[in-house]
Amino acid sequence: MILAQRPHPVLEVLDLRIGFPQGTAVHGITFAIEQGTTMALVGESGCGKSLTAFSILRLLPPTASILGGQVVFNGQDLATVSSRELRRIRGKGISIILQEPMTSLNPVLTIGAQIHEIIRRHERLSRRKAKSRAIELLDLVGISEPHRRYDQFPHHFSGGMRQRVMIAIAVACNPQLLIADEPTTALDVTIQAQVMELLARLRQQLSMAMLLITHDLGAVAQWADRVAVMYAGRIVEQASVNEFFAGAKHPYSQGLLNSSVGDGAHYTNRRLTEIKGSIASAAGATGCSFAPRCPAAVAACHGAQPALETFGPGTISDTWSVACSQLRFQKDRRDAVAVG
Amino acid sequence: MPLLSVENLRTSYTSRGHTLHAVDGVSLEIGENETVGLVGESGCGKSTLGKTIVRLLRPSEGVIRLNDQDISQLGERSLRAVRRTVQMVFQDPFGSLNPRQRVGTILDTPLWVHGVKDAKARRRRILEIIGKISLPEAALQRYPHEFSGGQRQRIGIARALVLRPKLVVCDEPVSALDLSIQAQILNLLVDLKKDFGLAYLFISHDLSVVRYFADRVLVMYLGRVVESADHATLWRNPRHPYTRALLASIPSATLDRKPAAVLSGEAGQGIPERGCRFRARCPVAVKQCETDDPALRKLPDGSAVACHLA
Amino acid sequence: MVMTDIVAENPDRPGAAVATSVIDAKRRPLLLTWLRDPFLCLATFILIGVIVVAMAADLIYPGDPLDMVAQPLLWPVQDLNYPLGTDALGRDLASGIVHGARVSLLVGFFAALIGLVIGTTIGALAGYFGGIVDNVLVRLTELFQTIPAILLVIVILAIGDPSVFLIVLSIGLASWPMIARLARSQFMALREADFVMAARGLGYGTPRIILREILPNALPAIVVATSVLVANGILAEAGLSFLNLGDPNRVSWGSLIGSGRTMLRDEWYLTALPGLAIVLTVLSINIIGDRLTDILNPRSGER
Repeated sequence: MILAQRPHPVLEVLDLRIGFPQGTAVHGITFAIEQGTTMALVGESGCGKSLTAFSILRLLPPTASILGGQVVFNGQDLATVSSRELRRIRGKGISIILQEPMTSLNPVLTIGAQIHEIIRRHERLSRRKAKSRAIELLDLVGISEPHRRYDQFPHHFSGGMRQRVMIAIAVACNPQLLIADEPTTALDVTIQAQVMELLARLRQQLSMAMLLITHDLGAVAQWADRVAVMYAGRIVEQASVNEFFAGAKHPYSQGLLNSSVGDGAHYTNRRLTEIKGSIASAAGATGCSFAPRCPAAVAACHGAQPALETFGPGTISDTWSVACSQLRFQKDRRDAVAVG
Repeated sequence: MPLLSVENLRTSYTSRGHTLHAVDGVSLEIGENETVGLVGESGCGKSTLGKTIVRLLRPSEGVIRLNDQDISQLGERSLRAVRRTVQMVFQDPFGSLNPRQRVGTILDTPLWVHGVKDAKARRRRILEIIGKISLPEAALQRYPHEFSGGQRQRIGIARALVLRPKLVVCDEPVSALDLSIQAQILNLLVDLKKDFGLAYLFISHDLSVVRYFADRVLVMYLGRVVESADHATLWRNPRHPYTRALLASIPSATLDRKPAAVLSGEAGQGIPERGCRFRARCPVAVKQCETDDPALRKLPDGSAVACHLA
Repeated sequence: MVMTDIVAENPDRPGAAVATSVIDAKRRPLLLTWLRDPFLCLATFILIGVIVVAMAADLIYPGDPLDMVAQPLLWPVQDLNYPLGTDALGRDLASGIVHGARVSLLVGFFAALIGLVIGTTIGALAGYFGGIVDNVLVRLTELFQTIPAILLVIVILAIGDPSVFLIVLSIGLASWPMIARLARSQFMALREADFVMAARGLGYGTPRIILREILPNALPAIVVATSVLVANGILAEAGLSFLNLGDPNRVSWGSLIGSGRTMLRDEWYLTALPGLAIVLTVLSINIIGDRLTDILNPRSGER
């Protein structure tokens, strides 16, 4: 399905709903990623962020399905496009790198073969040209002695190097969008910094947009331009990174920020702020899904699911929106006062 | 007299003729009610060190003194009494509880095994500990899979505390938990320390967490301690290049600083025969580093560092 | 997964909530799982039916099934007193099948039991202790595995007097290696689990760790494999009796098939009906064993 051309956002996710036979896991989320920017999707386990990321390329688990909404990429709706077209886009238009470097590479193929494979799939290059391009890529991602490494197997590589190989495979065909699902969680912190710097450099060189799935707010602060916080299958806050860290509005966002062990605190002088309870399932509760844990909840919060309210002007790509009935209440009051 | 004193500990693994010294000459002390943080990346030996101290592993060399008793080479029978003094909390909340035992049994068995034969007394102790970890009495009837990760970790902590140990070795206790749950567990550990007068050896790869939680911090690299300092000094004035690199790599949840990838390469390159084992990645290595292996040197302010340039 | 999130104040620690949110694991009630699975229902009914019939054999058909009671070679339903017909010597086939069920089931279950006990013991010790103990026990297992089971059984029966006891013993001895391998791999894996390390760290003795910590977790897989042994035991017994190596004083499904062999062309019911009994029983056991895996495992590792 070809929609009207929108020149700017590389990817627009509109009211996406994903569900399992047991129930809905993602309840209608909307966001957009501009060319060359990084959007971070943040949340804790069970919030649906990985599911959302995978659904963009329709890489869903067998029982899951997209129940509604659109995933617009280059004027096409990936949610409904044909399998053949989707395969053309995977690896070329949109690439994905995964969390576990230990299991993401095929252990019985040389890494050279794996990079070579994707280049040949999408570009019309001769074998020799494809091989030299693969070696270039290995060099680009910082693998020393790429000629020798080309013929080695994944088990010869450490975790950090395997992640670099994954990145090489992902950027081999100059994708417009890179989806990175917790790319550094399984790595040591010094390696994390290396890998994230590499990604930032590549992003700039290739003018690539990135969707970064993470639970690490520090990574968001350092590497992302925009952030969307997910809770129980919904986006509860979406803002630019500056706005978010200066003053996030949603109680859950605030809770997450306060839970982080920031610079300067020690147990002798500060107690960490807790968010009581633990994450609810995505299905079921009437009212705001965060209400049972929210320090600011009132009776109204248990009544209906709050809609996303926007603060300030903005199109879908630079809005600051928060889903909290309390803010709406405040906003209504403010409007009423302004009018009255 | 410190609660725990470790001298020149060495724990090795042998496979196919190669011997790997996972812990290669470590000395440390933990006083009563003191929290010592142990930080390092994968392969540095911190987990092995923790398990050796709890005597889940037998050291190949060195001395472990617990309450002035040398437990490093004791047999299992003699160790049983020692187990009442030092316990361990594990990383994986999903693997550290027996899925086929009710929580009540998980907490009851240690008491039974260690001689509390009176059922009422055991019950009292269990109820007390359940209260401290904020779980209801009904939880005792349930199986581990009926709880969330954070709750299971609490149960693991309760199990470690039911024998009222003096020292608890925590091996990455919050690494597998969500951010908001981490805060809960860390607060709980702080409270329990106060209530029970516990000492902790807190092992983690997350320097931010260690810095919040520990009184003193030890930094490990490839089987050795490369720096030791109290938490404030470590942050203000890290001396070892590796410590500085670790600190520089941490992304902070504020917008003021971008982490720098100061180090190249990875730790797995093997241990050189001569010289400092960090020199291959060290940004400030000099000639001396290739020939002399720096020992852990005490500094006037109480810290220690293993570097020629510090 | 449904979570009930009731948050109250913890009296010990003001400000901290009592995390009473316990996940009600979606462990569907057993009955529901059973009802939703038509094959499982059918298999359970058949197996229970066979067991009941076998137990009540003396009530349903008192007397010796080997007695000649009627006209030879009656077809089924030809004479309603003998609903399944008679064999060449005028023996009641129905009585034979009912009594034969006893022998077949006894042999199947007890041979499997012997295999289970020996196999689990050897596998557990090998898996837990490793080292020399493991080496020795694995060699022992391999020894028994490389001897063709059927030869082993025949040799044992040839040496002694074929009796149900000896048949059970010999089939059990031939089948324990499979269980031993499985038990060994289960114990080797579980030995490294954190909760086992915790048990060691708490000073639990080795017997307690093996029996109370590891074994309950290893059993589900072993039990499922044992159900296969039961089926195999029934088939083995049938084969032995067919070859006239079974207990000559007892009727079993295999002996019925064996004696009906020569008349397969015309009076095929003499082999087909006992054969059908074997097929239904073995199939039911296999289906139940297959479903047991899902039933026996709690939702461990659910994130």
